[in-house]
Amino acid sequence: MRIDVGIGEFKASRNAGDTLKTYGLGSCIALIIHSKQFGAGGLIHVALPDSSANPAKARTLPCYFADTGIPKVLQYIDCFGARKAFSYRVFGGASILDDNGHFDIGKRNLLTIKRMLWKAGYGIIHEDVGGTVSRTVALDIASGSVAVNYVETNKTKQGVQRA
Amino acid sequence: MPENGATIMIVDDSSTSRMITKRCFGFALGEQFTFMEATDGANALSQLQDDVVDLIVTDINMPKMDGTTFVWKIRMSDQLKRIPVVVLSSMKNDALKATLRELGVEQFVQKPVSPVKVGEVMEVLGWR
Amino acid sequence: MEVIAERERTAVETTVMETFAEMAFLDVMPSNSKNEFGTSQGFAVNIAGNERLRCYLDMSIAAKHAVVENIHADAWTELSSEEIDDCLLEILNVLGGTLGRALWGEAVRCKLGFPEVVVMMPGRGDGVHVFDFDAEGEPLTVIMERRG
Repeated sequence: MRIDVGIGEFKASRNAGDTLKTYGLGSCIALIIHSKQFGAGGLIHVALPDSSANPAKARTLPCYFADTGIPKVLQYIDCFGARKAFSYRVFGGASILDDNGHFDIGKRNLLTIKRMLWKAGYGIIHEDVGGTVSRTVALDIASGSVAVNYVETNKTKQGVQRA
Repeated sequence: MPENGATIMIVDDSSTSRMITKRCFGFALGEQFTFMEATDGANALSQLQDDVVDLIVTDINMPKMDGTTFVWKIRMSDQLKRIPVVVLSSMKNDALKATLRELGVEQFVQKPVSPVKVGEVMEVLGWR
Repeated sequence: MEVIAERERTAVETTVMETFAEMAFLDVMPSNSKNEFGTSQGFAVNIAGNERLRCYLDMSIAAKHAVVENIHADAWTELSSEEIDDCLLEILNVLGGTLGRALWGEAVRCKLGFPEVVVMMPGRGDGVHVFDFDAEGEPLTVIMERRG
């Protein structure tokens, strides 16, 4: 079945028939984890790099922020006791004007996630980030493949990559 | 990729660069490797007299013996000439690439190295 | 003071932003402030291509901490002074090589020296171009000196 992942959510599955999907990433980042060994995968949809601007929101929706959301992902992976069995891929982080008139939220999101993973001993093996496109991504739990839809103005292109 | 326990030699005068490279190979390919480290070409050649490696990953700009001289010496050696070589360097220009191509090195990673870049190169070499 | 071409300014700024982002996961942006570092120790490397340049790098202590701790994935206090210096020299090494390519393209054979620690950084006088940056709230400066 299709499981939709909303902004600020982290969802995971071990059912081969499931697809985890998140929509319209814009400057947000989707970090996708997958393990063929365990038949498991997860997707977090992060909106902002730093929770210090809104600690109350971080308590109710920790996955909205990279600094409070990524530990939730790592906690999930640690349940398997084999972090190297998982792959780490990132999508999104576009340069799109935010509500405060800034373009750099996508870049900040990406750098924060990469920094946190690197410092925790994890490495991203695939990046589909930046530009001015909005991405919708879907992870197929059985194969680990990720389908990406790109939307820029009136133009749409589609591609599928393998895990 | 060689079965079980491939050995990768990393040749770079910077300990930081060697550390980053080891991590990136581990992330990109899994962690079933043994790493050997050398600080320059001369140091690497000396270690290669006693040890067998499956892959050499070398920087170019190094004191004592630079990367291109090191690769040339490997290619001149009957014992070492078949070892695949990947070059990692912050310098990338047509002259350097031509020199390396003459020495049979097609795999070039522009520093800063990352797991993504290592993965792409190692896929071409059939290690992933 | 010698005027720097817009293309060269873009090459330096892009190289610095990309190198620190890719290597140290730091968001470094051009800044209008005139950074000062007091007696801070800096780093320098020679680059030769269409011309001979000396590229200096300096940053605040806090910026050095961030760069080194991010790259090493370890606390500053757990690292030796050799590891710290090597780390900052390596980022300048990468910056220098990338800058050569950004300035002159891949058709030009670029030679890079070995990066070194320097105590005396050049001032904001004639003959040098100063590029000030903000590294997530901390000052970071690159100085380019033409050497004929």
